[in-house]
Amino acid sequence: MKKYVWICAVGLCGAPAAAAQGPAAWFAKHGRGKLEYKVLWHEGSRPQDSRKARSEFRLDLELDIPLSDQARLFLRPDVRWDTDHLSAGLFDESRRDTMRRPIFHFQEAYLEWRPGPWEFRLGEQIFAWGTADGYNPTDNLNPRDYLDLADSEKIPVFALSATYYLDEVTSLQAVLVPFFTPSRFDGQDSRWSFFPAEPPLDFDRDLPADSLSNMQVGLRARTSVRGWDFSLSYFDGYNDIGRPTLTYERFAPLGPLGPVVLRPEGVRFAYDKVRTLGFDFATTWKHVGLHGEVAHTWTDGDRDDSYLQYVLGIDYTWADIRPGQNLRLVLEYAGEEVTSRGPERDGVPPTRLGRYLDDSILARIVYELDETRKLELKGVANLRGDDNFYLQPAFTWDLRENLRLKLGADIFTGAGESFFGQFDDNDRFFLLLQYYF
Amino acid sequence: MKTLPLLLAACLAAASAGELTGRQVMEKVRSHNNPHDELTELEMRLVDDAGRSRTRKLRIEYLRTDEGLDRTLIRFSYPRRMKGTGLLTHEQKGRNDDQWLYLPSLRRTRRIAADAKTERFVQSDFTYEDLQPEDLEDNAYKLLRSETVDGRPCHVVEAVPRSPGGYSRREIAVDAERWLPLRILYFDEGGRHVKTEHATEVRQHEGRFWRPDRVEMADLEREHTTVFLIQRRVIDGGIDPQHFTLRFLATGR
Repeated sequence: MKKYVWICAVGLCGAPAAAAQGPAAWFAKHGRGKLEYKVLWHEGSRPQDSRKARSEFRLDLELDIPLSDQARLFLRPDVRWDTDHLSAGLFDESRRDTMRRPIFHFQEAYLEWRPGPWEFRLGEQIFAWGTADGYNPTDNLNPRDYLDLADSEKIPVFALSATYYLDEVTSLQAVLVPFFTPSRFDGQDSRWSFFPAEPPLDFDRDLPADSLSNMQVGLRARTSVRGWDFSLSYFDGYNDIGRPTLTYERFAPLGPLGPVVLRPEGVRFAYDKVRTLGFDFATTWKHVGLHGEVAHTWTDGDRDDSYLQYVLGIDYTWADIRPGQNLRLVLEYAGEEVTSRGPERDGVPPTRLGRYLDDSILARIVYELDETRKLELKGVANLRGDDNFYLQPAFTWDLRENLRLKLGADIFTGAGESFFGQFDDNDRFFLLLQYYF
Repeated sequence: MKTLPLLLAACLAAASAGELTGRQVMEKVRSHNNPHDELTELEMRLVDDAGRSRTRKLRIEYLRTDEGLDRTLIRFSYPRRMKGTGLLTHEQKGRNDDQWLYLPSLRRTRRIAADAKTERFVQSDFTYEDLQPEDLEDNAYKLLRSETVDGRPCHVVEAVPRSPGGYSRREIAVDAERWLPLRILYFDEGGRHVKTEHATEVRQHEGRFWRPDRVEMADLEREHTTVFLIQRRVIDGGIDPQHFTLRFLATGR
């Protein structure tokens, strides 16, 4: 709660300017917002959740409050509510310990100071490193919210970011993240759970303590040379997905005089220290865009695998295949190679979050019918082991300049134990209405 | 009597045309329209064959570097879902231009293929090729005739690209006194007239640069029109070169 008080206090520094211009004019210049209503209908049900319909409301604002020529406060308050109770609580004071999204929080809230070639940001931030389209192994600073796997999004982290701009295209960036935030996903209680409904389990997490020695660090250098964009990155922090282990309790099924057995009591997530070295590039050749990323992650203490992840992609646009109609294609191949195998897991399969693309094809096809309508198909095909797939066909229509309608479906298919196949019963249709202001 | 000035102007144009080649006409266009920097804020209206109109608002900043290379930054402010989207282009000699697109919703800057000249600019009737400054080395020019366009005496120059592009040729009607293209006819590979660009409401800036306040591109094939309505223009006002960096593209600062 305290941090929202200081945010509002700093934000009020911009109040005189707003009053002078009038709130509407000020917002038109310094703000923007989006109001969303989404309805989802699931075809099937899972043991964890038989409900088939969900509604979501969301208000997402951006406020860019200038404080001086070199400083500003950037705020992105976010209010959301849904009928499946994925959102709960008013503020995210305990977001590090909760498996629910806060109904109200700041997606981003930071102070920025820009003296000359430097740029400093302090506060809640979302980073976007990497050049690929559907998968970014070099983008590790933010954990993710996987409460709805088909709609996952980044969770902001409190960070100090310092960037030095050497020239038009070259920059060096350092990011310090003092407080660890784990990724968010449901244990057993939703249709997006990674664990079976039975037996009931308690979920617990061994979060790294807030201390200087546990601070996470990210470094990135990027530049552009003769039509090639490059960046080199390094992350020293924690695996925000967590490594699950079963915990057991002693149980006497025949009473106090009978034999005692161990039965699963819960799942405890441990967050291993990792270091990731990454490289990405982007270039174009004639009409074709080429991009790629590669990142190697070392897990300290060999508690888990060390592995190399990579993605290579192309993008191409067929312009005016019929007058005014364009077809865009982004095609990527993603893979993973384990360079050092960690110990066998104690009967608990990993969620595979963050590591489910190990021989995969990702594609996004957009067919622009005109300036207001487009058809889109995006998908992932995992080809190692049992093939499994995710597809999202969608139709988008800009009903008005600032009113957008999207109709689509999320389709999961594959063998029952595969990453997407486990959600085979979660196929759904959706309707999304967005109003921009 | 009223016809005498017009006749005189036409004779002057004819006499002038007799002294100039097509290339020379285009060189005069370039020399008379060669600012160091230029800021344009405009509204773009897309009108389909049913008369339905969509509006885009954008700001275009242009800078010519000391090396004579062009830098261009386009930033959208409307519709609201496009607000903050930016396109940065660095002209290069001897290779494709560098072009980056910033998408605020993704917080990402993407390199895009600047060679996609035939692609339409945000679904308008202008392609990226249409919007690029005229490069005299890319075309062969031939003076066709004199003609009056919107009451202005004009030289009509044919431009034929030296390498394949979106058009087999263009006919550019250049104001013989102001050296500003007033009308451009675009012809496809089959020689059909497919688009017409028409500049009107011409005003002088800074005492020497003539610029239209309205430019209309009509796509005859799909019966679609794009209109640029210039709201504000500043020429040689001194744009900070820092505006043409990846930093400024992503942050606006």
